[in-house]
Amino acid sequence: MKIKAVISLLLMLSLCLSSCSYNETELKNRLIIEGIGIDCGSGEDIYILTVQTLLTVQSEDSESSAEGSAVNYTVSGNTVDEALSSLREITGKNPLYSQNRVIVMGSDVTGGKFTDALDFFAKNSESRADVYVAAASGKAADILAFSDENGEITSELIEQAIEEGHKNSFSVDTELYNIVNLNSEKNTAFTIPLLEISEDGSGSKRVKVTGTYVYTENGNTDNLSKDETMFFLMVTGNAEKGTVSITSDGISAGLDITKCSSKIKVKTADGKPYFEITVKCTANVTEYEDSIFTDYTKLNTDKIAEDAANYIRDGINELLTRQLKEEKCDIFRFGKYLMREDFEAYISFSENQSEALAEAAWDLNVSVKIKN
Amino acid sequence: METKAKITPFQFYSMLYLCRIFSLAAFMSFEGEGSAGLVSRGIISGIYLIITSVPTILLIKKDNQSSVLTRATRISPLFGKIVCVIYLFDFLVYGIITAGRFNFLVSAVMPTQSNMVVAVLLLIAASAYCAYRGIEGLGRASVLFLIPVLLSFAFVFISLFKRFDALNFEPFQWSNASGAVKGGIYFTSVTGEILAVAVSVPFVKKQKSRHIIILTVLSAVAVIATLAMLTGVLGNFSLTRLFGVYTLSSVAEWGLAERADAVIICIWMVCAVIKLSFLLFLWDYTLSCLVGKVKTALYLTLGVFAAAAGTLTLSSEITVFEDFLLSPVVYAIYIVTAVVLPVSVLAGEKISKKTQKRKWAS
Repeated sequence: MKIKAVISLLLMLSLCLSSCSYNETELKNRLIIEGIGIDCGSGEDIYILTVQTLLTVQSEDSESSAEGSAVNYTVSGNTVDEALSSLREITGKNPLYSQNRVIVMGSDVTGGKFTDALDFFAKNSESRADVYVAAASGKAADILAFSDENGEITSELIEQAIEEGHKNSFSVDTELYNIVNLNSEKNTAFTIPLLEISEDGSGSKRVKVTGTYVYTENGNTDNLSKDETMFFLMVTGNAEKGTVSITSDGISAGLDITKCSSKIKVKTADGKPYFEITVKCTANVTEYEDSIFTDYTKLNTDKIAEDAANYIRDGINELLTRQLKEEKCDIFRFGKYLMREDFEAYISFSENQSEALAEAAWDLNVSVKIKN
Repeated sequence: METKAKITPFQFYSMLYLCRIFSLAAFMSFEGEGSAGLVSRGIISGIYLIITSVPTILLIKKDNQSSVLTRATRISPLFGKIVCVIYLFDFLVYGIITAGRFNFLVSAVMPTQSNMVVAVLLLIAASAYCAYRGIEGLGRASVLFLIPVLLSFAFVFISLFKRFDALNFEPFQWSNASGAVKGGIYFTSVTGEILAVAVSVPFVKKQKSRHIIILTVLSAVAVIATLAMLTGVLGNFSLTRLFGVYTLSSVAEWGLAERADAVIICIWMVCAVIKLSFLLFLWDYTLSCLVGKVKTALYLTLGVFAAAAGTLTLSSEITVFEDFLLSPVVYAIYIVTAVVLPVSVLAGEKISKKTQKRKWAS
């Protein structure tokens, strides 16, 4: 009798908590979202969304465009939630956000609209916290509408491009929760990968990461190039590997950076913030255009290392000057370092932090160690 | 309902530790709001737990055979009844908190069109059955589940190390020390495992005070580690979603294994059943101390109805549940049962002893 009661209870519990219900939805009847592009609309609709979904059944919907294994839908609304809700009316399916790989923001989504648009994804528990957020150099719709000649899903390509870019230190890999976290910090700007459809040497087009989009409270500032992105990642300690081309004694040399670490200390000097930044890199020389079969053991690696360090130092200095002094934009979270190490100074600077950081001075030490 | 069953200290404290893990895993964002950092609250919570466990340690040291209910009754039958009523209320409140958290867990993170009221009622009913079977089964189940639960947490934490960013931590601000202290006291008060120790004494073999010390230290470590991970990985994002630990697990990945949130859901389920079963068991025992033993499961049935009614009322909306959790009731019942009652029992025993000595002397 007791065993029967136990079995009955367990069966009822499993039925309740599983999808074994007459009104539960099968996965094939859910709209599996792979990527979302957000552009600004005109008139009543503030947002125009391009939603890339996995093609599970052949769609005959006139509002969708099916290429390969993905279907794109274009919806609009006053809010992102309103726009996405209209997907149910168009497709008759309930959207599934947990497979979303990337959110692409169009270049016209600036200012408060940028963070407002992301609010839906931040609060929706079904939406992944680690979904990538990227910016399009033009319209997000164009990026997601791009059709790869191999029929691969654009959102997957974008995800791969961001991951590979970050591994090779020419792309940031900002996820949604990073943006929400950084946005809550006063005066901190955040950076997201910048996407473009560009042609490679053979004439075929691909979606590529071409740099970094910088967002501040006042909107977008000048974007970072791929090299500047690498210097930015080096300063923030997020560079994994990278490639550097330098000229040493008039000869071109290529280096593969295999390891990079950084340390930042903050003090105040003469009432202004003062940063001590140390960047240490380990690299291999992969190319030295002297003669075709150069024996690497005969290279003057100390000179190459010094030249590489100078190159990186100059690059980082230029980046710091441009971002802190010209754009008055703290993408390095120096404000947070200041808060941790000298809270009183942080409080005194907090009203006008960007001005305070514009007057900051720094001591930058870069060292490169050649391994091979 | 067996009252003479005994379990080992390891089984008993595994059960209490799983109860603590449930409260951590089901930590809700409104419990961490305020400008005082989560980690500072966690540290204060640990210190508060250790301090408030001292009366219970002294109780066990003096007599590790009789529960606080029996000892209170020995001092005075009326005092014993008052203590029983207070503990009954405590177990009911903590049971409602546990079932309420479960209710929000399944409705917030497991989108389903099934009726969650039925799921909560089934949880309470299943827990009542586990409680009816006795503490031995619960003890054995706790030991069985302890290692997988700890390993799961360890897996999630290790896989999150690469996302850990020390910059997410903010320095402790003395200007908001009161917020940190209040938050820390709350974290300890809302779980209440230490209260169960004083009542469960008859069911635990050879209980020693060092067992309580180990439990409190490990609980404090678990709280601080979880809150540190939450802050270090997610930062302020952890407070934008209702269940921060669930969100934390959803970004965990190790090689091909991604989204460890299913692991956290399993931990929730297991720990919710164990915690609720244990609380219903203690409810049954306390009620039998108050009004006398019965052969049927009448007291458990009453407990099920009370817990169900309380859960469905107080967890009907998130704002109602939030007001209930953050109300002074939770702080008050903890301090009364963890400190005031054990100290009163110890004081009462001392006075009784002196009175008896004087009687013998005269």
